[in-house]
Amino acid sequence: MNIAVCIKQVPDTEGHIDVDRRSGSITSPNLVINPLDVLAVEEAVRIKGQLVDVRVTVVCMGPDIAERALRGALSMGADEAVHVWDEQLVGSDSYVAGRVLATAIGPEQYDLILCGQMAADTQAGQVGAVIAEILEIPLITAVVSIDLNLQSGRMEMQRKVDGGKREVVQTSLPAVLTVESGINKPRYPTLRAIKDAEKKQIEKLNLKALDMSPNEVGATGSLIKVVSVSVAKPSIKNLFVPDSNLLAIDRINILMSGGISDKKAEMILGGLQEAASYFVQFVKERKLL
Amino acid sequence: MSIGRDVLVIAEQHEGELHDVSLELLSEGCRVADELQGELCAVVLGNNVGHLTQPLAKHGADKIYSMENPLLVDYSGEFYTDALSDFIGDLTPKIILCGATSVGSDLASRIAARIGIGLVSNCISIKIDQNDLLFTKATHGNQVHTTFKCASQPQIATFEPGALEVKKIGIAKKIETMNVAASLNPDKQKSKVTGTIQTDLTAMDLSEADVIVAGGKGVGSADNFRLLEDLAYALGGCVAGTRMALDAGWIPSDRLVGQTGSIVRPKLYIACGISGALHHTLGMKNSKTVVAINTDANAPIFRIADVGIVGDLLDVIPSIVEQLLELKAQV
Repeated sequence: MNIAVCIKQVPDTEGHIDVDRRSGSITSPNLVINPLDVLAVEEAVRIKGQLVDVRVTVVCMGPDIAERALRGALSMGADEAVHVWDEQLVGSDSYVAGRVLATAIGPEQYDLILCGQMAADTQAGQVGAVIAEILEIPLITAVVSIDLNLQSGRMEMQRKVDGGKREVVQTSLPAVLTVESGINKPRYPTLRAIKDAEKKQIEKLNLKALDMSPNEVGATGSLIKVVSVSVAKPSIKNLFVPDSNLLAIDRINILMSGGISDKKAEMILGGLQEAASYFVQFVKERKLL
Repeated sequence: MSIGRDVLVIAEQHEGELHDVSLELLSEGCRVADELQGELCAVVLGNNVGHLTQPLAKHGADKIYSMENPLLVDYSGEFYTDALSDFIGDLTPKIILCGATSVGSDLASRIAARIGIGLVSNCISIKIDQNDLLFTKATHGNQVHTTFKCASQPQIATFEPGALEVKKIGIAKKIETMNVAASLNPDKQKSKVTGTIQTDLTAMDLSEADVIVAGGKGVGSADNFRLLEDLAYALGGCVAGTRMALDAGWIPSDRLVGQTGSIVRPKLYIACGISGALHHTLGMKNSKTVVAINTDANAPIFRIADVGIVGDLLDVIPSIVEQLLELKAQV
């Protein structure tokens, strides 16, 4: 089985993000592999450990520094790495990224293509769908567990749906799977693995190698364009003045989180049965049962 | 029909019931359609969904399309995308709105990829600047707000349930309802849903729970916490607690709700014996409905509750559980 894993290098969104409103640049001191993509790499390596004859290839589109992300994935146990970059790709949106990755992956090369459900920077969740569409293969999103007992070439998996439920899906292969948090706990690579990963060859692809024209990528080929960026501010529900008895830190926390809006609770002081009936009626009316 | 000015809302239904997010989208769609001077259209997919046109009309839709096919009875990414992509191609709306639910997010990404149109997922707001639509959404771990413009027509945006308000429409409009045939080929289906399972409520991540029953210092003991478990079980929800409950060893650390634990926003949050200290309320204040049970009528928790029950939870909860079980037995 051949598995391709698409990874993206993103600013570490767990840490501080600097936003320059004028230039629209968003920077962070740390660049990491998109956390959900790390889970995709881990899942591929886990499959490799359980089935025979599995090769894992990681594919990344990004500037020269994105090589760090590929080395990171190699140290986790991936076999090969493909680095796609061209100056023309600057300013590409998720749609273009999906098209470029699909072209790099190519039809009929891989049985399984894994991606993270969404990138931590753009929070779009579009790349997996574009790859599946271009390669004309099935797409299963939000996968949280994969059953490796293949039955006549079909794979079974569970995907996360609303209300804490899991949907069991069966698909033919090849397929694109986007993975959600909870699918696994990624390993920490050993020092030895990190050293070995440094020595591995990384295949480099540019637009020419992909046979794509500059017009279909970058800002020209993109379907959505960034107009402006700003530091996120909470949407304040109502003007709220925190109690001056509170600690300064608590007051700051209240304000930063958008304030706490007072609700007028319907108070029930009556008897026990009355209160219970009221509650049951209430949840029934609000369709919370 | 005004070409390229209409707003299309993809309504979501489960087992013949409309998802609330569809009404929220209609309210927002109404505003956008007015500004664009276009019409507000809604499309609903399923089997025998004719009765849903009424609530859609009440919330401002000018035209309602229904696509009925036994293959569309439950959500299937492949069938829904096939059916909707052709339909959208014919309708040519300016903008398509869809809920950022698990169904809507999956569907929107597929439609955008299929037709090759711009997608802005988990939008916060839409503004109209002359003839362009500007979409703002949170990015970079919600630390940044980015505003996008789509180069494509139509364009598609998703909104999280609860992000928009439902507005009541006063006047009943004259509406058009139309059936659209969906041509689907079941032989082409490559992936299919074979079942749905409920995850273990004691292991489920709190952020996924629709109902949370939380206890604080007022619960009193680990034994009393069992009552909360009974209530959670009867409602199909998860048990959680405050820092006090964690320190007392009544709940495991992954069940802590508060600033240093999980930040949750379930549909129903039941606070039992919780006074409402800031550490805790900052973790649950965005819950859709809050019910508080406390002996102290002056507890701060009542200030953010929709329903307050002043009483001893040791009496109130068993009584509620009893009534809930009776109700279930009747169904």
